[in-house]
Amino acid sequence: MGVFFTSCELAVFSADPAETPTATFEYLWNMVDRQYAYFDVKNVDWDNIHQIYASIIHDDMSDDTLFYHLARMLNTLKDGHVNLFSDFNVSRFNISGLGPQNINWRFLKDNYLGDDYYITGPFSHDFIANDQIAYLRYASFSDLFSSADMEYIFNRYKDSQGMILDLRQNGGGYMMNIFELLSYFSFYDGPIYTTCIKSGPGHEEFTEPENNYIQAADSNLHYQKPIAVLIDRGSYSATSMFALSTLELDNLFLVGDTTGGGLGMPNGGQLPNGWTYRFSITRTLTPDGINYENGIPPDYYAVLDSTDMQQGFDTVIEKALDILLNR
Amino acid sequence: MKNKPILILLSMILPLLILAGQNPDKFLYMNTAMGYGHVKDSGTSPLRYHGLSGGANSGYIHHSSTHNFEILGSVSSISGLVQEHILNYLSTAMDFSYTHSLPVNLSDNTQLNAGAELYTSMNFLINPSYQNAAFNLDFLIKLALRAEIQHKITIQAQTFHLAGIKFNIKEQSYSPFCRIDIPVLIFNGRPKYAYVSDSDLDFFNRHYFLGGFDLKTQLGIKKHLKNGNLMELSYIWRMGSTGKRDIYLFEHGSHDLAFSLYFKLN
Repeated sequence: MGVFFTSCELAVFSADPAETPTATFEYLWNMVDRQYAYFDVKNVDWDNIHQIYASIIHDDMSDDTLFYHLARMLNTLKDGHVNLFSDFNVSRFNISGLGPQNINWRFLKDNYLGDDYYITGPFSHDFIANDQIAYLRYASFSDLFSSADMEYIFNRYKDSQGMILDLRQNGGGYMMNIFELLSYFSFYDGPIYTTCIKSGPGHEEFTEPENNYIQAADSNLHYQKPIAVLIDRGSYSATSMFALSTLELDNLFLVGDTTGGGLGMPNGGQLPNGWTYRFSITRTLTPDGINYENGIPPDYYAVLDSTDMQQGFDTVIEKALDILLNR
Repeated sequence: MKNKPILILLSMILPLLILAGQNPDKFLYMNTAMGYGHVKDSGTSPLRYHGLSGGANSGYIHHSSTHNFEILGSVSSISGLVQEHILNYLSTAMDFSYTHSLPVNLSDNTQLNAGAELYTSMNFLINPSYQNAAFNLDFLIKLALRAEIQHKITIQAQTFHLAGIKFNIKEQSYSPFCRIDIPVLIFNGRPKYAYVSDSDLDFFNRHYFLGGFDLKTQLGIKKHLKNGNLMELSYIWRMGSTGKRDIYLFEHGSHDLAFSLYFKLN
């Protein structure tokens, strides 16, 4: 009876796809073509990419070779949120490689923090510059923190002249941590950025932009003094979103190198051969409509300088200190 | 129309009120099922996931010689596998049905019922491999025609000897039955174009449309116990598709063997 009914299902349901390399390539190319959100700033002729790879990919190639070519195709987008996942490899685009190595944690500890700096929740922190400035290192937006963590930190540094929030090489994490952290730094009630989502197959088919707001933390813990946010090419995804948000806030400014971007929300899916992928399907813009997907430029440019380092100076921190102490 | 929810509620309760004075059998119903199922959501994958299906439901059944009314709550799932990826399809549903005996004289022991079913469900799709599309929520409201035929067989008490041993078989009653739900109207809530669920965008902002099909067939046999309770063994076949109006076609099918108990309440 089950066999009979299963036969009925097969007659009605859609056919399963071929699992061949060419079918897998066509499916992936089409999904990117119809859903990827950042063709407008990537300067890639996606139709031409199809022509190139359609001539390379054939059904006799091995999985390894197919993966290599599909990964190269995806990497033409130069997007850290674009990945291909198989059971033997993960493709990625090394976005932080676009800029210089801009933080050396061992050097920073040796020359600024010492060995007895504080660790509160995910934050490493201490006074620097003759106890005038608070230094706060947040290495990943995937690390959660509590209001108790923030209460301790802000009480400790309430008499400082300013703060350095070091987000260099912070590769991102949870979006909620952006809003949580910003809620302690500002009472700004205007939109900090807008988000729209793909609504059709055309490269410019999006929903209407929706504003995103900060809700100021419901406590006395706000830190209203100047805050230098240190960034570099490794400041990616949620960290870039945080940097983007600071553009609307008067007491925060960016120091370092352009961020990596990655402002879209990556969505996943599966290919006919079972591999999975992800790429961004939302577009994030400033409230004025500017697209910073390729990176948010700093207000003050600074990268590590070997001559400075020989003298025990982190060029980026020194730049931030100079601005904070002379503001 | 402001009174619409009240009217819908009344239309659901009305069959109960009609039956109240007819000395019917009232049952607490419990069911568990397990079998094979498959599911395919084109929004995230062109592949069909095959695996185990199962479920349980429970509720109240009001049965008389002329009417049958059921209110059931259910959970069911299909867990499918493709390579190392696991897709879980979890459905929670409320099911209201009313059927009436047709004046067709098949035989004294045969009852042919026809009526309608209102089925509402919230369905979850979970596959961690899909990143921000790892979790999805679908809605389905279905109005279906229900037809069922049931024939009561009574085996008289008998005594016989086998190898010198005396066997007494008591009188037993069974009711083979067949039931089919044919959809008339299906209201679907499915993801919009970008198929995203984990976002600050409105979670319930779905693509709503009428269409598709959702067919359910049940074949089984009930055993009438002395105390008025019933035991039931049945095969349930269900297949559904959201159809061409969905941005991304969703299909599922399952073949379950179900065991049910009816506890008489009066």
